[in-house]
Amino acid sequence: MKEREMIIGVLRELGRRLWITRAIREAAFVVCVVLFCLVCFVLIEPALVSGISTAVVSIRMALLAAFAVVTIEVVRRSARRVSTQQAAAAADAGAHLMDELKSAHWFLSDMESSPYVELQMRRAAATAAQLDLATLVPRRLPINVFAAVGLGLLWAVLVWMTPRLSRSWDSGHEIAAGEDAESADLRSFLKGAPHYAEVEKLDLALSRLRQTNASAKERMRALADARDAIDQANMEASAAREGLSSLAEALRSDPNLELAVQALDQGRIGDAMTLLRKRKADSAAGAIKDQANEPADKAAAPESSVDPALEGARRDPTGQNAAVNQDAINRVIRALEQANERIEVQNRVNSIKRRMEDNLVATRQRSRLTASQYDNRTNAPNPTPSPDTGNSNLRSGTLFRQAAVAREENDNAREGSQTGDASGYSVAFPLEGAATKRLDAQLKLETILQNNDPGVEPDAKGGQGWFYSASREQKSMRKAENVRSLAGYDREEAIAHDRVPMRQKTIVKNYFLNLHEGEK
Amino acid sequence: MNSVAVDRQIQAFREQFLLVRNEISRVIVGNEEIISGVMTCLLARGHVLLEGIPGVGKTKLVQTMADVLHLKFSRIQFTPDLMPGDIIGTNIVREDEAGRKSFEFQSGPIFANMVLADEINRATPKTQSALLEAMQENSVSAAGRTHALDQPFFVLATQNPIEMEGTYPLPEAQMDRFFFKLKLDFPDVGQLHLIIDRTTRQAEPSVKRVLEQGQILQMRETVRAIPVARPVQEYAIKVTLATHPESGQAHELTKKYVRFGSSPRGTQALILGAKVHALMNDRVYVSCEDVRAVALPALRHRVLLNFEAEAQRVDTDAILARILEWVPEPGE
Repeated sequence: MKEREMIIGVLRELGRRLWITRAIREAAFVVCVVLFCLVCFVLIEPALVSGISTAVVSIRMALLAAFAVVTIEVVRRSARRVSTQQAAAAADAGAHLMDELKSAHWFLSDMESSPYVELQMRRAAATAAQLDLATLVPRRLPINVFAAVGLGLLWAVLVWMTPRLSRSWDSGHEIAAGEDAESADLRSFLKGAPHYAEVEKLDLALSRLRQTNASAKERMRALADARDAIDQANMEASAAREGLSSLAEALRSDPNLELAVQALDQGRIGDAMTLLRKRKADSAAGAIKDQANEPADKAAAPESSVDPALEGARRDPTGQNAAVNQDAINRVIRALEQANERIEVQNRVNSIKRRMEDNLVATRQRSRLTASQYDNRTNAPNPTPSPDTGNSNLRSGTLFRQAAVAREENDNAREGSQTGDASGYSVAFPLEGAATKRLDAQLKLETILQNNDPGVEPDAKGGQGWFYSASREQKSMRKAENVRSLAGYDREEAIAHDRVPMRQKTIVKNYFLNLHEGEK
Repeated sequence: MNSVAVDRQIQAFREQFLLVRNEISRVIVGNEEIISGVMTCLLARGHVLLEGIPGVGKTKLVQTMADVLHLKFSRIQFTPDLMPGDIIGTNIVREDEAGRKSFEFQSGPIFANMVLADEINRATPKTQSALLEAMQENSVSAAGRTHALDQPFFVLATQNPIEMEGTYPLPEAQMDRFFFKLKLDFPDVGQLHLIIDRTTRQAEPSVKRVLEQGQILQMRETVRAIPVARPVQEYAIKVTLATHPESGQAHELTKKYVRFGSSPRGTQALILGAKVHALMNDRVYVSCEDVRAVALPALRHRVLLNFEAEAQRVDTDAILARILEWVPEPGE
């Protein structure tokens, strides 16, 4: 009995140690699984989700479910104690005992006894007493623990080095608030701006971009609207600038307006307006000799756009009696005010445009869009050079041609300073830029017909959204394999009936003809 | 008998075993495993089949063993014209002094403790089968009478694996009677030097008898008394079942190359051989390692390969080795 108690006692102690070791190993395994999933999630999250929060939620739910299943299984396995039989097997294997304890454990439960069994029990008890359990089951951490620590460090490093990748876990609200602030900041550029349709459209698009619950498609649409509005503002400003140039040419004939013309040439519209107002005051003090040929009602008519006002103002002062035509000067001043407003709007929207582009570059890493969507955002869909600045939005960057259109003949002191900085970026000076011809030939005007108004002609722009878009690469609708099979279709048809290829039909035919000749 | 006496008995067993092996090794160069295998068969009440090319010492081993053991030894040279009566014996007519004639059984060479059946595959199957009853039942039936054989009865058969012309391969039933099939390999250079040194001089090495008949019988009883734990016995059964292609526990190589698996005699040989092996290692219990140690000689002649294995020259030993690696020990 003493041998029996000795063997059982040692085996129980060994089983307890084995159970603890196994529990630690299993727990570490669970941690490894969880950390591995977290690492994978951190790595693949930017590629998986493109602004779709449901995907993130689904992945999180799947991770939680997997964690729960693994935990339950591990707890179930850990709850099972190590039996004395298993401990005996482990001791035999660990100490190379040649099944001594395993056999002794069996003989313990076996009722049959013999001197040989007793001898075996005595020897097994002695062996069990000499067993060093600490050597057999060393108190060192299983390798799973080190793996778990390694994975934990990896996960921490990933989260620390790429915080934007993990924003959905811990900093989603802060980043979303930052995006709202950026959008709100952009809208501040439009405060106090003249009320034009493109300004309202841009403001509306920016407000839609600010909405956090907007889907990726809605955001894309708002971004396109914003670009349309910016392009529209630039086009209007360009037209106004052309009108100013024409007006300056018309006023050049009047020596009294030389200073105003110079101011217009140099883009100093404010100075030109001041000079014109001064001229108007002078002429009001003097006698008015000639009246303009234009009827008063036409001059007083509200200007719906800058171009007609400039055109009218341009014609009046160039007449023979235009020197003292106060009414014409008034219209010129109004036209200059409108052109000034257009240019101011252009400055504002261009500032917004630059800020948007900068923001897009800055948010490249945390973009929720896919690669193609991000590419479409960062690279404008219209690669045509801007009629205003000559800048061209290209793939992988923007070609700035600001220096090429900047007038430098009266600005020698700053010559070369506008060719761009080290990064290739040059701040635009729209007011100082020379008038550039509109590149109408390079633009492709597209019109989107409204669904509820199919009868409107494509050329009619009123009430319809329009934009310039680049011609796109046409892709083949048919795959190469299909084309190849199509090429062999005729031949297949030719041999379909008698399974004889066309070029061998003659040989077969001659063979049978000769065969029949032989029979004859 | 108490455990102390058992301990002494086991020690004596081991010493006697080593004594016989060492004595044989004075004549037989190398082949310690073969000598141990033959001794295992003797002590497990089995018979052994020795296979090897000519000249590797098969017959010499048996003769030396007969010299070492104090047993009655007879040698039968199997030839195609050998008849069963030549082995078992026959009734002869004997006339007494009164002139009365009667049949008298003239025992054949099988009535010995150690029988060397040299080149057993040269005799016809009819003659080979004359050994069946003797090997299994330890008795011989002749002319309606059964004659018990003296114990220990131990058959050592030899056969040549390369000279197959004019031979009769042993039938499966006959093969199954052999406890072990031992293969004698060609000696290496060092062993050849030793063989030449021992056999080409004036005085050849001689042996002395170190074990008596009674001691052998006592050792046999000791072997039988060794207990076997059920898990180890289960392991031996699993190994046996793994050789059966139709078994659910068959190895994939078994399913592919084996026609018939080992018989229950194979499992018996595994356990008995493992017991001797355990005693040889001073243990009073049988371990799975003991089973593995005797698995090849115990099963190699009981596993019959199919045509595909013969065509691809797949060796039975290779299949058994894979099976032994594959079958898990109890508790794993």
